This record gives sequence, structure tokens and C-alpha cells, in this order.
Amino acid sequence: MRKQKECVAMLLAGGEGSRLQPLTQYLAKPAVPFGGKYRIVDFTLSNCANSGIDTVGVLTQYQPLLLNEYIGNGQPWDLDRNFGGVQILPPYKAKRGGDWYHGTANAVWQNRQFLERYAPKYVLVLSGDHIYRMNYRALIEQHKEKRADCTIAVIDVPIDEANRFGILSADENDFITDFEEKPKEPKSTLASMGIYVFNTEYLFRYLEADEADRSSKNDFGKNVIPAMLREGGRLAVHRFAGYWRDVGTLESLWQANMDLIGEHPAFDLFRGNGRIFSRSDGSTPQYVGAHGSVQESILSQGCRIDGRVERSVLSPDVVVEEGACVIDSVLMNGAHVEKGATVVHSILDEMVTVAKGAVIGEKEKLTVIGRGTEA
Amino acid sequence: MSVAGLILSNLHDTELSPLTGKRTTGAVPFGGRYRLIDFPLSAMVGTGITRIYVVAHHNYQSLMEHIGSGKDWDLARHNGGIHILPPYNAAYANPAESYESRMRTLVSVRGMVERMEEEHVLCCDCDAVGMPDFSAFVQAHKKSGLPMTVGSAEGEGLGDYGSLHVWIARTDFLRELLRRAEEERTASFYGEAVRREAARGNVGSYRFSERFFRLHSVSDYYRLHMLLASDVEVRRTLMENSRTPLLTKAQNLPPVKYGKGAEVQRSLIADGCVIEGKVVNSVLFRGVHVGANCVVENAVLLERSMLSGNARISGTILDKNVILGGNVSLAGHPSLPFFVEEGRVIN
Repeated sequence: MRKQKECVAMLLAGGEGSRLQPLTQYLAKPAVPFGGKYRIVDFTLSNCANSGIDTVGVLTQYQPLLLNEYIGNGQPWDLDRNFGGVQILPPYKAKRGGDWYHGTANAVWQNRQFLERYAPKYVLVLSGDHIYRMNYRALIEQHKEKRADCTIAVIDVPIDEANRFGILSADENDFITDFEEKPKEPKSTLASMGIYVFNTEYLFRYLEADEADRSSKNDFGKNVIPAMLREGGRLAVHRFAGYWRDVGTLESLWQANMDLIGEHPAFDLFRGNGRIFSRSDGSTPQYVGAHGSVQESILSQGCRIDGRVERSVLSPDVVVEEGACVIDSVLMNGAHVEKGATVVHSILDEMVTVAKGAVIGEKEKLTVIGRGTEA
Repeated sequence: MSVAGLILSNLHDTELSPLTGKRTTGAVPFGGRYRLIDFPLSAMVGTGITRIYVVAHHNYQSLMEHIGSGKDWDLARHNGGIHILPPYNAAYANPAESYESRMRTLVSVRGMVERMEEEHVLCCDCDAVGMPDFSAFVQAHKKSGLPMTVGSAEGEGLGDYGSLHVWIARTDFLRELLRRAEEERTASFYGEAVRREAARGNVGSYRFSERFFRLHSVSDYYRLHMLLASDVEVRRTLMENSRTPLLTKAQNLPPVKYGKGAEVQRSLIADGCVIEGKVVNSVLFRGVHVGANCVVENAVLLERSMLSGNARISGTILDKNVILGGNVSLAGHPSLPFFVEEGRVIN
């Protein structure tokens, strides 16, 4: 009997994350720390685990070392399987062809051998830079029921932000009638979440045609989806109503971190369906000292707090010394705020040290301090 | 490395009752996210020992759940790894007998010792909390050329010979000792078997320079947790040892969330806690909730305890899953901490 999987996920994790500089100086965007103990990619991988999708190809290209190490054999997400599991897919050279990934569609096309091994009926394309909890099972079930060729997960966005997204129009049966990438004058507020499920054969047909088209940018949103629509494909939308954020910019990354705190947070790590899994580094429990004060914040293990922390999110092993003050900020792994220093409305990258008495940040504008800096 | 590890997880259950009501001494929760067995396990793994046997005689469900495949200690291996040895009572007619005696515990795993390929066996219990350098111990033992070396250390109740319960022996020597003990029905390990060998000059001694805290009672357990909350040196010695990291089972809980009115000082807090009230000089294990009007002082709260309403506790140990609400107020004394057993609901 030939083994096969019903659905295989392809997680696009190769983006440079240039708008997240300097945080992406040494690591890929999906590996950027988020929400204290997590990294961005944890959310998508955990969604896979919680949706029963046990075969995931992670397409990496830019600064993949830390991401490779972090994902490893996939054990934290239950993705260490004898058949399937998680596999890192970097670009490779083949006898004929083989090259860097040019666009999202090309990245999947270059890995069609990986997909063919599992002979899935459906291919689920995911992004590694979104913060959300979603059961992909519901998306796939709807895709099957509607007998669609492709189903795109969509979310309602405010009309004045619609020009930042791929905007779709759909008929009364939720079939897509129109798709525009970042339109100047949006015709609807249904935004693509960059989550697609395709019938595998249908996808391969279009990827092959897209490869043959020299003028194509080999991108799902810009080329492949519009081509499918032009040729009358059955493309449906799957409406999602929960919390979903693209954390592709520093401002949105900061805001999404802030969304985790407060009594009724916009995104609640403690409630909701589906646990978020992460690779734990085995730090000790956190310690709040005699002069410490922590309010409205999220702190990870290994933190040592003897100063004041308010409305902030701290990754593992952050130190805030006596008399120091951290407000409205995001501090990544191992950041160290020395005695009497103040950090306001800032993101401190991993291992950043703020020297004794220094003042970082201002109320009005987000400040970001890159890795290995002494501020 | 030619040393196998052997951990006796049950031997001090009566001393630590009621913490051991439903768990072995090795599985007693410690320091926010650990269990007592993490100390000997981490010390052995840190020395490069990769084949470890854990002897469990009763109440070992939570121990097995904690250890799992051993992957959190890098012990999920084809060659070596961790093995839990459940009761094997055939050697004695009355299984109850095998529970408390060290000699009988060891005799019950004789079959495993017979098959062991490693040249030496390093054995310890789970009641002495410390992060010893076992490589120095192994070196000293090998260098001495003696078949057996017994460890000791400074500290309360630790000066006596054998009271640390850490020893290393050549496997062939241990095999012979156990064979004879079974034949002669020797009752006491230290009192008879080791003493006899010592008289023949077969047993050396080794003084550990590291600090150990021996837990003889629930009060000892409470006092050591109060030290963890107040003494940075104790935390460093036990949990932040750069030579030997303290390893434990990974659990996917969210980070700690502090509410607007949270007031936390001198406290050790593990993942998954939600703190909205006052917590002073305490140790909170994973997933503890402290409501806005609650006060926790000089207390140890094991996993997933929940305080709501106007609950106040001091000088108290809450075992797992205790729920307190309403105007409940519980107070104990450092010399006599108040203990609330697992799953109790008081409101």
C-alpha cells in the first residue's frame, strides 16, 4: 500500500523581513521572538499541530540558521513523525535547474518532489509571519464541501487599511469574483490572509504554467491567483473572524505584543482553543526581587526583575536591575537593563544591554535597538 | 563513559508525607518547575552518564509521567537512555517488605545489575537536594582503586557516614554483594553489607564540597523553598549552576501574566501563572492563579492552585490543584507550615 497524506502544508519562511530591520539582521522573520517565550513561527506551527496537519515543509532562504535549529526535528509541535513531520526546505541545486527561490509560487514549485512523496490531495500554503490561532481543518472541510479548486482564508479589515492587503470580492456563495493586490481604491474589505488551500493537481498545473511565463514574478498573490481567476477557476473564500495580525513591520510587531496584555487582551494566550507550543530553553522560574514591581505585563522564565516593569512583554532571561524602569516595551531574550536605566516605548533585540542610568525611547515614537548593541 | 546511574526514587516517602501521598519522593515538585529527581538526573547527565535506571516501587505514576521518554534530559536513546524499574517482588514473599529497605530495593533490581555492561554504578536517592560534581566523584573513586566509594557532605544531618546516600561501586563488586545479600537475606545495606566490606578495606569515602540540603520532613521542604525566595546564593547553587544545568520536563504553558494591581516581591514564579494580587516571599509553581484581592505570603503553591475572592495565605503549602476562595484565611508557622492536600476546595 502506498502511504499518502490528505493535506501537506507549505510554510513560507524565506522572507527577508527588511521592514523588521534591525531585528532580522541575523535571523529570518519567522524566528523573531514574540509574546515572551515564543517566536513568530510558533503560531503557525502550533495551528498545524492543533489542526491535525502533521506534514509541514518549511521553505527557508534568508538567514535560516537559527530557524533551522529552532524548528529542529519538530518535537515541540508534535511534528517529529516517522512518515511526514516537519522538514526544512532550503533552495538547492539540481542536475537541471535549481536556484534561489524567486517568489512564493516558485518556492513551492521547486519543492514539488517533496509534495509528490506524500501525494496529498490538498496543499495548504501558509505564511510564517502571522500571529493568530486558526483551525485549518475547518478551512479544508469547507474547501471540500464547496468542491473548490482553491480556497483563500479572508478577514474583514477596516476600509482605510484595505490598501495594504490583497483585497477580494466574493459572490453570495462565497466564490471569488475579483482579486486585487494592494488596490488604491479597494472594492471590498475582505483581505487575503495569505493562507491558501489548493487541490494539488490544479496547483501544479498553474505553477507549471507560471514557471513558463517569463514575465511572471512567480508570486501567489500577484500572478498565480489572478491567473486562476482569469481562467474561471472555482476559487472560494473562507471567512475568519478571530485575531490575526501580520507582524511584518516594527510598529505592528510592537502593537501585537501589546495586544497580549491587559485584563481582556485582544489576543489571549491563556484562553482560546489550541495551545501555542514552543521550544523551551530550560531557564529557571522568573524571580522578582525585593525592589521589583511588575504590572500589566507578560514575563518569561529566567527573567530577574528588581526594577519596575509596566505594560511590557519580556522574553526569557531578561534582567531589569534595581531602580531601572521598563514601560510600554518589548524586551527580547537576554536583554539587560542596568541600574537606574529607563526604557520607554521601545523594542530591545536579543542580548541588548542598556547601561546604568541610560534613557532609551520616547513616548511618541517607537525606538528599536538592534542586537549586540550597548545603549 | 563506563558508569551507569541508579536512582532510588521511593526510599524517603514516609519522611516527606503528606507530599508523598500520591507520588514518590523523586516526583515531589520542587522550586517552581522541577521535581526532586531532576537533581540526581541532571547531575548524572551533566557528568556524561547516559544510561540511568530509576527504581520505583509504588506511587510512581507521576514519576513516569514526568520522565516520559527521557528526551528532556537527552536520555531518549537507543544506546543507553533512561529505564524505569517498576516493582519486582519475586525475591520476597511479602511485597510490602521491599518498600522501605534499601537492601531489599537493591536486591529487587539484581537482575538488571547482573546484565549491566558498565564498569561502575553510581547510586543515589532523591532526598538530598544539591548539584554535585559527579565527575570529580567518579575520578576519585577510579583513582582510589577501591571497589566502592561512599560520599558525604557538610550540612545538617549529613556528616554521618552514608547519610548523603550517594555511592559508587564497581559493577562486579555490587553483583557479588547483592548475590550474597540475597542468599543470606541480609537486612541492612549500610549496617551490614557495606560495613562488612568496609571492615575488609573495600570501601573508601569521598567528601563533596558542594552544598546539599537534605529533606527530612515537610518543614525542611518548606524552609528550603523560603530560602529559594530570599537567598540568591541558594538559587544559584541549585538552579543556575553553570557547570551542570538543572534539567526538567518541558511544558508548554504561556509566560507569566501580571495584572494591573499585581504586587510581587521576593518570589520565584514559574510559567503559566496569572498574578493580579499580592505575592511576597513565596514560590509559585506552574499555572497558579492569584486573584486581585488575594494575598500570598511566605507560601509554597504547587501546580495550578487557584486563589480568588479575598483568600489570604501565609506559612502555607498548597499541594496541586487546591482552590481557595471567599474569605478563606490560612496561616501556618515556619516551624509548622500549614499543608493543604491536593485538590482541596475551600471557599
